[in-house]
Amino acid sequence: MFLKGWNYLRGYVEIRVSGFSVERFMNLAVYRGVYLWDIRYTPKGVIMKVSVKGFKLLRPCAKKTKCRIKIISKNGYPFLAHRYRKRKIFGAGFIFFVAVLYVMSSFLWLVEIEGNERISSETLIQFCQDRGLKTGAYKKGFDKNLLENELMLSFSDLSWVNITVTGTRAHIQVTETIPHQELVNRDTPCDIIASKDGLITSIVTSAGTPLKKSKDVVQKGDVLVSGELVVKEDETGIIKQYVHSSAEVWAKMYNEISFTVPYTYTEKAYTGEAENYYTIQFFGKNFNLNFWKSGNSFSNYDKITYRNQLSFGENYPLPVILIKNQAREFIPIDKTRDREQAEELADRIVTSRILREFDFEADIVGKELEFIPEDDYLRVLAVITSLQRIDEERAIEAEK
Amino acid sequence: MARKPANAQKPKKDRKDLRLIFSNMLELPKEVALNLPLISITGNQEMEIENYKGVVEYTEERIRLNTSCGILKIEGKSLFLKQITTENMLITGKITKLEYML
Repeated sequence: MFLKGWNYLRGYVEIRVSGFSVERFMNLAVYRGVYLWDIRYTPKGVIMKVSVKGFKLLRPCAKKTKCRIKIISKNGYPFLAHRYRKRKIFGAGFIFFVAVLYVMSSFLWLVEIEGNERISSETLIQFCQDRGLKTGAYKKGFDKNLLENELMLSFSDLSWVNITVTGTRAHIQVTETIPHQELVNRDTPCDIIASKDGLITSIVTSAGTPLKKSKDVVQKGDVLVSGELVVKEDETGIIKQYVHSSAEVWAKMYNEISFTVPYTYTEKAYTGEAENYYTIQFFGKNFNLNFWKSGNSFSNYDKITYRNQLSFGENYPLPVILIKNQAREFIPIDKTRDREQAEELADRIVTSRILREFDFEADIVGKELEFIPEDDYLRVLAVITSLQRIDEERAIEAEK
Repeated sequence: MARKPANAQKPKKDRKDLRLIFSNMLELPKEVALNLPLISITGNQEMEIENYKGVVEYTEERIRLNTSCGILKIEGKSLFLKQITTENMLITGKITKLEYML
């Protein structure tokens, strides 16, 4: 195997020797130090392989032994190179290709962040970008350890940072600290005020003087629990103490939601027809691949965009992003719904709005829908009854 | 003239015997001490001959080699000389018969 490769690299000739005594010729050649291999007997003569250098020594041997040499084939790299010696552009192109591959792979084409939950990826990427770690940056252009340290120092929420560069991909792995509990300073005196209007259903005070009781109606901003505490009251005067009051106050409240549900609506019926437009993003610049097409022929369509970054394996993403814009045709169909369907839809809308607009902690007690029919739509008035926490701290201004 | 080679032969033969005794005594490898061919055969497929002197005949069925202990005749089918150098020779093919002809 190894010998074969070496012979190929040096180049060899396959020859056919014929004459009265080929054996003598072989002996002579071997005696003169020519290496012969793959010698095969055929009725026409003996076929053998000999190196290019050895072949030059064979002529006198053949003359001496009166044998005739005929070249059957020339094999190996030197002959190949000789044949392609005029195709300089091909060679240059090959070298250029290798060079481009090498140069391209010495830049970063993808920066990934993993492990962050509270700190947004944008913030971290922006931070790294300002310090030289970005797509298109030279791999050795930034100090990895320095950047790791800077990240650690700048973001107090990070407990561990590791940057690994594999191929053209930079992988930033972070671990966030456990979120620390917000400390309540119990020394600063404060009141509890109402954050919303409502009817108090329960009030549990653990510190402070409650000013309201259950079944009181309060408005936003009313003081529910005062931090002012009367310690002693007699003829000499009143001794007051200000405390950091705390209480859990629940109140019942009504929220009104009003909206309309039209009886007519349009529905998208997809025809299954789709047109694809490809765009190549190369170094952040877009190149339209379908430049001969100007827009699509659909009057109604949805546009869906797919992005796909090309890469050599997993670790060598390239600065080329293939963007596929798909236009999917649909036909708008006008439809009408009757009263019953409209009410059903209204109910669903209310439910989804409750989920979206109310606090997670809120307790929905009741939901009443009122329908007011109009000519071409249904007016909906929903009253949501809910129990919510309304306590909010407000510091007492220093009076003393 | 006729006597001369006979005279020349005698000391040469003595020298050879002496070398044989010597190599036996010192347990030297005989192919080195006596310049004999060393033949190794792998099954009936491959045969390596070291220390041969020259090729006398080569066809597909028969190869005759000159060695220091006579002519070595190898018979077989589709015999193929894989490589030849001054010291050794590699024969592949189906070897059926080996014979020394003195």
